Parts: sequence; structure tokens; C-alpha cells
Amino acid sequence: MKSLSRREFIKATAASTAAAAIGVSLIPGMEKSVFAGTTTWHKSVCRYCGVGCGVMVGVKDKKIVAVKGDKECPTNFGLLCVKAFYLNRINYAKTRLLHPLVRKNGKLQKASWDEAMDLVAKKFKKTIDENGPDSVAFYGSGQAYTEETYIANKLFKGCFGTNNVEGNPRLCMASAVGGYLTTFGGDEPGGSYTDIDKCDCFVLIGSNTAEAHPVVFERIAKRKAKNPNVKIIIIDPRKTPTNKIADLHLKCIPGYDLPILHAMARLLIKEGYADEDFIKNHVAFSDGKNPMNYEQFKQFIEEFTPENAAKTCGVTPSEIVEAAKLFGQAKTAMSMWTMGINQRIAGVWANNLIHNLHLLTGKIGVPGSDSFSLTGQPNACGGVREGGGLCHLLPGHRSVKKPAHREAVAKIWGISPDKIQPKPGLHTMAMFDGLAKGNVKCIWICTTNPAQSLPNLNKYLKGMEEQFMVVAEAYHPTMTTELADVVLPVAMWSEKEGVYGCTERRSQHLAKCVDPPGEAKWDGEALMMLARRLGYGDKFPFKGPEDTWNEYLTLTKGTDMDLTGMPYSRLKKVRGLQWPCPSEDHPGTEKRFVKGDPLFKGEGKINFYKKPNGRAIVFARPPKGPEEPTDAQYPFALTTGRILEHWHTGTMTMTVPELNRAVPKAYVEIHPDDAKRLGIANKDMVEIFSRRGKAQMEARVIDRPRKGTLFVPWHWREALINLVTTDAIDPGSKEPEYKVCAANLKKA
Amino acid sequence: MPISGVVILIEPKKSQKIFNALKKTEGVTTYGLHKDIYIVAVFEAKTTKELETMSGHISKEIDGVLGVYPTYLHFEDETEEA
Ligand code: SF4
Repeated sequence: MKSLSRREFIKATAASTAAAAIGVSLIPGMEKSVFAGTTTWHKSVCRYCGVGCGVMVGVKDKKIVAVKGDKECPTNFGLLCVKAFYLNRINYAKTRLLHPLVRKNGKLQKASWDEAMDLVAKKFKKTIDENGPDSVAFYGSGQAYTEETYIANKLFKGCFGTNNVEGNPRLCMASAVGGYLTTFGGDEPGGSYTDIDKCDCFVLIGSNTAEAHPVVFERIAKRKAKNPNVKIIIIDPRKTPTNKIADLHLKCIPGYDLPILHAMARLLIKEGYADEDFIKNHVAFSDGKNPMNYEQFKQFIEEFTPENAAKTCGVTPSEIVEAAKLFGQAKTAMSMWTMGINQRIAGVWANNLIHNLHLLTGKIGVPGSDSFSLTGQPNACGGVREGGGLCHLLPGHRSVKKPAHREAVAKIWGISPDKIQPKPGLHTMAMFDGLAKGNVKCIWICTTNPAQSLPNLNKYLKGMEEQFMVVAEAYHPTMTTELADVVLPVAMWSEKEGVYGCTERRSQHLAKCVDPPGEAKWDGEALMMLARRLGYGDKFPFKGPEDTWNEYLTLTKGTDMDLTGMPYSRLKKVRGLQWPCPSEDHPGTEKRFVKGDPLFKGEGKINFYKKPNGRAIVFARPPKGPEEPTDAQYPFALTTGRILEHWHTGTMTMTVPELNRAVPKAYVEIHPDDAKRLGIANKDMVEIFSRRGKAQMEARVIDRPRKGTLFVPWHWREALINLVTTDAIDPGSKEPEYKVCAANLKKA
Repeated sequence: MPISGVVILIEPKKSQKIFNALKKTEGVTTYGLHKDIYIVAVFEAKTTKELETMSGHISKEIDGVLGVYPTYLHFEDETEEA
């Protein structure tokens, strides 16, 4: 080893680490010996998406100098994607905010923490005193750590007495929550990533898995490469890099996929692929209002012949027949979906119809089968869905509407149950509408950028500018901090510890590896500074994240998401644990509702115990298209999404010059036939416009979207596509329909 | 100078062509085909920008490459300039 130069040594280490991730030993022991003695490695989780990849963070001289995939972590076995490649750079970005800012004479100016927090406390107190608690609000994030969301929830719902607590998962995951709750009675998937390794047929619907969840894509692609009989069905209006592994692509019209799912269900029953025993013992039927029986359900779906469905959805009947056949014939099947399904006015219903396919065929609750929603953000499941960080929820999958739930929470919070309002607060779009109308006068925004990410932005920007807005953020400027009255510098990933809960119900501990820069503080501490100033200090005796987590654990005891067996002391050692995990000797639960799940009751093979009679519900939901269909004036269906190199509003990834340069400009994908008809050439500047607003960007003429569809990645502030998108919401989940609106374009 | 260890997931039938293409890509050292579907490689570059360009080029332009998955990134010398 001595003869190796330093560079050769690093190269050998890099190669060995890569080989080790796939279970190959290149130079035995090499990957373990990386800079032994000089670099300290800390166990953590990737900051970007909901896959929840384990990472090891290498620190030398108090700086992060290396990152590697955590080979021991069962979510990724050491593999990462290109975003994690640049993880450390987000900590050392030039736009890191190092001290508080307070707006004085119209300008944000440097201030001390005391000055900033005194002002925030004064404003919140005066507003609550004069206008009542519902005049203030908190808007959090699926990127915040669970402990931070917990503190905010307790302060606003328990101390201030308002349920105006929301988080950006409302914009991406709320329809999935609604789907799980209505179908199964409880939120979050029953299965795990391990199902991928045994799955014979994948339905990827409304998901560009290769770019949005790359490490999950790798696992699917590996499964298929090793087992060529594994089939992959894609249902999506756009051809994406995920198509590299597809057997069948149903390129439907945006917003019109519900009939495809009904037609598949009809064929599965007609052609004998239904599991009649499973249906008899574990399934109930409903039209959404009233129960129905199996025969009535069959009558309901009778009209969804492949021909009828194909006409509405813009695919061919034979594609639908083929999709049903592949799903039916496979021994095991997994459906995976994300924003293409959730960000719709029929988001909950679309979720229900995906679950239907699994319930009708019994392809659920067995290894290799699950109806598995992919989460967008790293802690949308953990912090916001489980932690109760939405306006209708309380920690531990509880509801503000249920007296027993309010009582249980109030007891732990040390408050009167009456302090928690029984009525849900304002959901995200109503909250920002409240700001625009002046009903909400003070808002605390944590780790998110709504001034760029909300749909139909023209309607909401003024309210954000006019009302008192506190933004706790690691960077400045972002579009939201620019509108703020107070900006608080907060610690980033690796500068604080805490817990993330990913897609597969796995809670993982993230270590603090380095100190935050400048005067940046932990978000939890910033919120507690407000609590102390308003007289609620005794409710927050937490010295740090661990105390906070411990209190939160007590609120999960005995619930369906029992985390009692997950104290920091255990989480620091293991690569996460899946709930329910009721005791420290419990291994966690890979599959819910079946033997092995500590809450499983009875003798049958599955028990959907979150439903009163143990039966999951197959829904007869009527087909529902988008809120704003295309017409002569706005003939294009506009759809928005993510690309591999960037993430959400780019607050983090745009601070990394390399990622910014890789895909430097905003662009719209347009089908070559549409471009030809409109005389638009590749790289022409075009203006996209809708009934709400317009945005300019470069045209990318490419055979990816279907004809009549425009696709715009939504990461760029210079080309704000959210001025164009619609804020119509799903009536159940209140999630906006980012995925479809009617638009037009012309040469700029 | 950043160095990254990566795993390249490929379609097994196209491995030879992929190796040939990788050989022509400056800064890439390969460490063999494993389990029929993975090529282990190390990317070296002067800047992370080059490293990223390399990664993007390989995953998007070389036929048969299903994805490039970094497993290790050393950027000690770059941290200062970031
Ligand atoms: S797949 Fe998601 S969690 Fe994994 S490395 Fe990429 S961005 Fe991070």
C-alpha cells in the first residue's frame, strides 16, 4: 500500500467502495481503511428525496470532506444518485445565511438573534391578542427533521391554540394519504423496498422513477436485468428515462388515466385473474358514499371496456388489454406512483383505483406485492404525516376532530384538551389565500420556498409580501426570504441531529457531523425562543433533538405507528427501523397487516385492522378529468415535474454550480409535430401562457411528451412556471393540480 | 480534485459496446463487469463540474446504460473553493 500515491490510494478506495456496494471485494478491506485515523465517519441519510438512502459523511478538520453510500443501509446498500454526489456542497454554498435579517425601511438588514426574536414575539403576541389564534400560521416542510415539526406542532396547536399548521407535503403527498386512509383505514404503504426484489410486474404510474427516485429505479432495473420475465408497465403522458426498462408504455392524456385503471380492473375480473377468496374474506366495496356489493361493483365497471376507456385516455384498447394481462398473469405485482397521480383534483380517487387492482387480485400483503406510493421528500412521511404536521392531524396518526385523540395529546403536552381546536385549520392553499386576504397576519415558514413552489403564484405573492412573514432558512436569497420580514439562519443537514422517516415507514437517525456556520441555529431552538418569549417555555424543556424525540415517542405508544422501540440510542446503531416497532427488542415491521406485524390479529392471511371490520375497500369512483380541460384557446395540456439534476425550487441544488450548469436553463419539452405546426425550432425562446399567467423559456423539441402536451421542469425562478399552473385542489386531499392545466405557447 | 467511485448499471447484452465507449471517455477508469449488470468505475476530474458532465454523458448518451450511481465522493481539496 505504501507504494501508492495519495491519488492512487483515493482511487483504489473509490473503486473498492463502489465494488463493495454491489457485494464485490476488489481489494479486500480497502473500503474500510479509508483515511483511517484522519477522517471521522458519521451515519446519516441523504437530504434530498423520499427514498431515504443511507450515507456516511466523512469529516476532517471540522469539515465535510467525503460522502459515501452506506453499504449497511437496506434502502440503498451503498448506492446513491447524482444529487447525493454533491451533498456536502449544499453546506458550503456561498448563499448560506450566517446571521438573522430583519426588514428595516423596506430592506433586509443584519440583526442579532435577540432583536429578531423580540420582534417576532411582539408581532405574534399582538396578532393573537387582537385577532385570535387563527390569525397566525406555521408552514413547514418534508425536509425538516421530525423533532422540528413536532415542536412547531406543539407550539401552534397546543400553546397558541390554532390548527393552522401545514407543510409542503400537502402539495405532493396529501392525495396518497387520502388514498391510504380511505382504502385501508391507515396511512402509508404496507410493504417495503424488499418487495421489489420479489416482484414480477411493476406498474409505474405518474412516476418518472429513473429521475425522481433513482435508487429505487436501480433496484427495479436490477430485478428485471436478473429476471428477464419481470414486466414493467408505465402509465404516463411522457416518455422519460424510466422507459429504458419498460415493456409497455400507456402514454395517456394528462389527467385522464382513471378509466384505464377501471378498465384494467374489469378485465382482471372478467379474465379470471381476480382472487375471489381474497375478495370474499378481506374486501368490501363502496361507491364513496354507500357500501355496495361485488356484483354492483362489477356492474359499475362494466362500461369501462378497453375501447371506451381508450377513447377517453388516448391510448389503444390493446395496450389496456396487455397491461391487464401482464398484471394478472404475474405472480406478484407492485404499483408505484408519485406526483403524476397525487397532484390532481382526482388524486385521492386515482390512488383508490390503484389500490383496487391489488385488492381484486390479492396482490398485497405477500412478498413481492404492494400498492406502494413513492414519497417525494426525505421526511414527508416521518415528520409531517406521522408527526401530524398538517392542519387536521395530531402526532401519531391522530386527528384533531376526535376528542380522545385531543385528550391523549393534551395529556402529554401538559395542556387542557380544550386548547386544541376540534376543527381542522387552514390547509396550505387556504392558508396562503388567508395571507392574501389578510385573515392570516403572521406566518412562520420553515425550510421551504412557497413563493416559488405554490401554484397560480400571482394570487399569493402579494399576501406573502404584505403580511408579517418569518422565514427560517439556511440560504438567502430565495424567492421566499426576499419577501420576508425576518429571516432566521438555521442549521442544515449534517449540522444538527434528528430523524427522517422515508417511504417504507423506516425512521433513520441523522448525525450531527459539523457545527453550523456563523450564527445559524437549530430550527427547534428558534421555535423554542419564540415559545419562551410568549410564556410557553415550560412546555419546551428540551435540551435538544433527543429530548424532543423522546417526548414524541410517548405519543406514538399503542398507535398503528408505534415508535416506542426506537430511542436515539438504538437508532444511532441501526440503519433505521420500520414501524410499528413497539419495544426495543422488536425488529420492526417489514410488512403490515400480516403475520409478523405486532398489530395483526386473527388467523387469516391478512387483516386490514385499521378498518372496523378488517376489510379494505374497493372503490367505484366515477371517472374525473382535470379541472381545466384543453380548449381552442388553450389547446395544450401543461404538466410540470422534476429532473434528475435538480430538486424542487432549486434552493439547495441551484447553490451547487455544477448541478446548475449541467441543466442550466429553464426549458419546455414540446412534441416535434406540435413544434412544426407552430413554426417553433429547437432552442427557440417561447412564451407559455394560461388563464393565470405566463413564463418564458427555451423550447426543447423532443419526442418525449405526447402530442398536445407540454412538460416544464419547475426548478427555475427566472422562468416561473407556477405563474401558469392552476391552484384547483382535490376536494378530499386539498392537493393542487400541478400536473395538468390548459395552456398555450407562442414564440417569444 | 474530486474523485468518485461509481457503479454503472447496464443492459447485460450491451456490455462490450459500453466498455468501448467508456474507454474513450477521458477520466474514467473501469474495474470490470460484475454480476453481468454492473461496471465498477472511478471518475476523476479537475472539477466537480467535469465529473458531473461525465456522469450525465454516460447515463444519457451511452446506449445500454441504465444509470450511474455514485457510491463514494472525495472532495477534500475542493471544499475550500466551494
Ligand atoms: S435516490 Fe434520493 S435519497 Fe437516494 S441518493 Fe438520490 S436523492 Fe438521495
